[in-house]
Amino acid sequence: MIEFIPQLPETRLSNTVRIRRERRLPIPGEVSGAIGMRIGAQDILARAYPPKQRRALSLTRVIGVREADVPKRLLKQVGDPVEAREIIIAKPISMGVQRLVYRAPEAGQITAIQGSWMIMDVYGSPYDVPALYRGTIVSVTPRQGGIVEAQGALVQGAWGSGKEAVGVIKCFGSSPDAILDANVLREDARGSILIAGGVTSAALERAHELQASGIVVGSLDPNLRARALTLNLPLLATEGFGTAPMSTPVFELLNALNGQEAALNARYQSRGRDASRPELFVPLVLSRMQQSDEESEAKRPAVAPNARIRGICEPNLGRVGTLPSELVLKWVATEAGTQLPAVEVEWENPPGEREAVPWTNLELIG
Amino acid sequence: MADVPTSILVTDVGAVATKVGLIDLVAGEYRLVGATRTMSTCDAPHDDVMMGVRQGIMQLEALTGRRLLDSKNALIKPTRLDGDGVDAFVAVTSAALPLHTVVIGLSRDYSVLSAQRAVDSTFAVVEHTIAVDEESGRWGTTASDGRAGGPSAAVEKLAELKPDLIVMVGGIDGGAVAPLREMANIVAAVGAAMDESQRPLVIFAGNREARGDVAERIGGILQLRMVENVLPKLDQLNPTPLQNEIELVYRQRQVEKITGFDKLAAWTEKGVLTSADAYTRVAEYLARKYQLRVLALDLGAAATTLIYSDGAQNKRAILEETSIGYGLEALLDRVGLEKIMRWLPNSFEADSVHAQLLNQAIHPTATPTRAQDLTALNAAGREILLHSAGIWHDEAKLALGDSELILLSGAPIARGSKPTALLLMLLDSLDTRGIFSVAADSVGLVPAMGAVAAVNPEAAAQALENDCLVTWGTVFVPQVTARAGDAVALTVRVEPQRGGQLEADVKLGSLELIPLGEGEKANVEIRAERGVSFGEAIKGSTFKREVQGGTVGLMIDARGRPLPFADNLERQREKMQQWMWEAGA
Repeated sequence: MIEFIPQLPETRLSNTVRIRRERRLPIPGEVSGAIGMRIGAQDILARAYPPKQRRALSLTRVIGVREADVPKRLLKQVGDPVEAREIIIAKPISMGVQRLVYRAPEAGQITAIQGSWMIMDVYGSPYDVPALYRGTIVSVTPRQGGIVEAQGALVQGAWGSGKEAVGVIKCFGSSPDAILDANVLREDARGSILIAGGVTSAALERAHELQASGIVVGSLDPNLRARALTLNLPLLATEGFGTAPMSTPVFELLNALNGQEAALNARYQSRGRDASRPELFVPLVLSRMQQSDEESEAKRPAVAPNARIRGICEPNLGRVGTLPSELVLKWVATEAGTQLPAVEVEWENPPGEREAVPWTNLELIG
Repeated sequence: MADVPTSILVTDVGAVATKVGLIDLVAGEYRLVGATRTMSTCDAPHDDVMMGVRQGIMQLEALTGRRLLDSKNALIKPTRLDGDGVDAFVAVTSAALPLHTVVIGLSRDYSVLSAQRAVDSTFAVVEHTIAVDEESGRWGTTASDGRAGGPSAAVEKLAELKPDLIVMVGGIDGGAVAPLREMANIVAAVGAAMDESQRPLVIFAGNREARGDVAERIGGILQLRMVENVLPKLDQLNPTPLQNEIELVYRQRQVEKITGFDKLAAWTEKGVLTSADAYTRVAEYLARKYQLRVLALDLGAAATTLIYSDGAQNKRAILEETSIGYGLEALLDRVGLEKIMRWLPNSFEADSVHAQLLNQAIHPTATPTRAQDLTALNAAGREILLHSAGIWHDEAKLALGDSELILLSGAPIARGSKPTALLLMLLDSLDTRGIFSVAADSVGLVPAMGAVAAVNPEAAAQALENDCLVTWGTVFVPQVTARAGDAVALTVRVEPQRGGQLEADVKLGSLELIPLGEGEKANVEIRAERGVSFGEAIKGSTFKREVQGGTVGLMIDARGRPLPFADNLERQREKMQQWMWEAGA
């Protein structure tokens, strides 16, 4: 018997939780929101103007001017905007009768000149950061972004393909292992977040074609990962990769939210200060919002008797159960012959099934 | 506290697991009296490294019955009269994120290569390199359409990246300065174009004559540090000052930013070492003590570390992009699933292996319970090691093949793979030849012993050899020039010192595992048949030697090197099954 019970990783799954999410520009820009302002999911919180391209070139080599002569030959300075074809630097040649010039390839701005080297940003399209989470701005960092507080249902995923979108939840299939196929997708998939146990390759392509807002599956076929990463269609897998069905409580919560508008943030960063889990968030209607601390995300699930857990490793990936009422870890031998500290878990499906599961292969869910 | 601490609490905080151990005097010898392993808590949602450390200590308290934390969860130090507490606390870590680095130099074959090697031995990832001599025209200012004076793609890429660090190298000391001035202009221009909050730090490790010019151009824009030239003369490499400076930057910018790090450091006497630094000290100690060439490997969940030491010189590579945990997704992208599948018998389904490796990357704390899952991870481990060892392939002086002791630490052991399975993984991927010993880090605290040595070298040495290292045995890999088949490659006679005798014919292309228990010694006589030799170090067709047994025993690998892969995947996987049976994996 092991007397000390260590920590477990966790996945948040809640029908009412108050969250705070930082919304940040990749480069400095302008923040349009103010503290206390209510903001819609698609409202722009901050905007930046990243260059379409950053050109770097040696003016010395462009027109053969010596480094020392660059300042006096320049017609534009750092910070100056330039039009396409506008002359940036010119050097007289042929006894001053003609001149050799370098023209801006496109409209942009000169961002740096050092010695003979110039960096010029070619203007691109504005980059907007929408609030994504409908709620209230509670903090603003000038030029960078802000923090939005929102209340609603939250489903954290295991893996996400990146990108984010807002859409209406549309559930497919009556069971957590139902696979979404292309033949059930109609025009009304446009703008929807499609929910199913899994997805076929054809359905993934069709959803993209129909401009669905996103996809949430239990498990993703590993062969579809590379394609999912390239599509402009956020995809979230609640369990991971393979064939494990969507966990029952996740499936039930998503089905209860069918038809509601949700924010799908499929950004996934596994570690570090910018670590983020992909998630689906459904904001509460205003009238149901409360300020109770009980609903704050900061109140996290804890390792405790009867706490709800989920398997994070095969053969129990995605299975949900509860810890025993008397929390005791015991050494058990695994099928591979390893001795590991394990706890007796009661699985929800099939109901009442008990199994000693290695502690490291569980996470809290709630 | 006594001058030399006798009871030492040691922790190794990894990206995934935090290991804690207690060393104390037992019957006049230092022993590891207990060790625990808990989840690391550096990242969200916990965001406090101390939570995992305290949990590990509490677990250790439960295990040993000794109080180590007081009622306020502070470390009891020094040891009290009632035996509670410890005299010293030692910590190492590999939990911080790597430094994203760009190397810019004048010549790819000289300065850039030298700097890249120096960076590879630190917790830094080289994201991009720029070399003047590679471009058609200095700085690539010949555009892709062949028109002179176009923009430089290499510099534009640098301008798009957001590195933490730029390493500038080039020129031998006393060489031309002008090219370095231009390089400084580039770095300064790129830096000036970045937002101030995102500007990287620059280390200049080039021609010392150019320092003034470089500082003049860069100093006002970017933080700049100067170190000795990485290549002071064409035939003289000097990577240490650059490595040390990168280590310093890593500690200041990454390690010290781990939430709760200040509290962890405050508990220690000598500060927190990086796990790789500490592990290097262990490899060096073993190399010196036993006069061996040591290859120490750490297959971590977030980084792979290779250290080669002959006692006089150390060589190190740290690869953050491919690892047996978080890095599995990147590994699959880099080498592809098929390369991994070649190490698995035909009974393994590609889709299920693919899914399992991706899921392990998502949940690196998980411990597979099925033998097949551990086997799949070890297949990925082979590709990680092949990739990692490849870093040194072009260095003639550094032949991993002549290692005499291989030391394995890391996640595969913690996950409970069979020693025979892990030994086969090493044999398949490392190309080590001749006769060598293999040992493993049984509790995950071997690297940390390098830090323990700073407060009590005797305790570190004794705990290391008494309790942390497990000898797996001895391996013999002869040179095979004949073709595999039924022909006998070697005749082996083993005479254990406890008595008895065992003879075995080892067929060409096969492996033979001869049992020889832990602590047992045996005299071995090996006779090579036609087409087989013992390598340059051992002349003649017969050689005798005393060997040591271990958890695995004596392994004879007569498959030949490089490994004879079958001509198609299916046949290779059949062969793999055969190798696994032969090795008892």
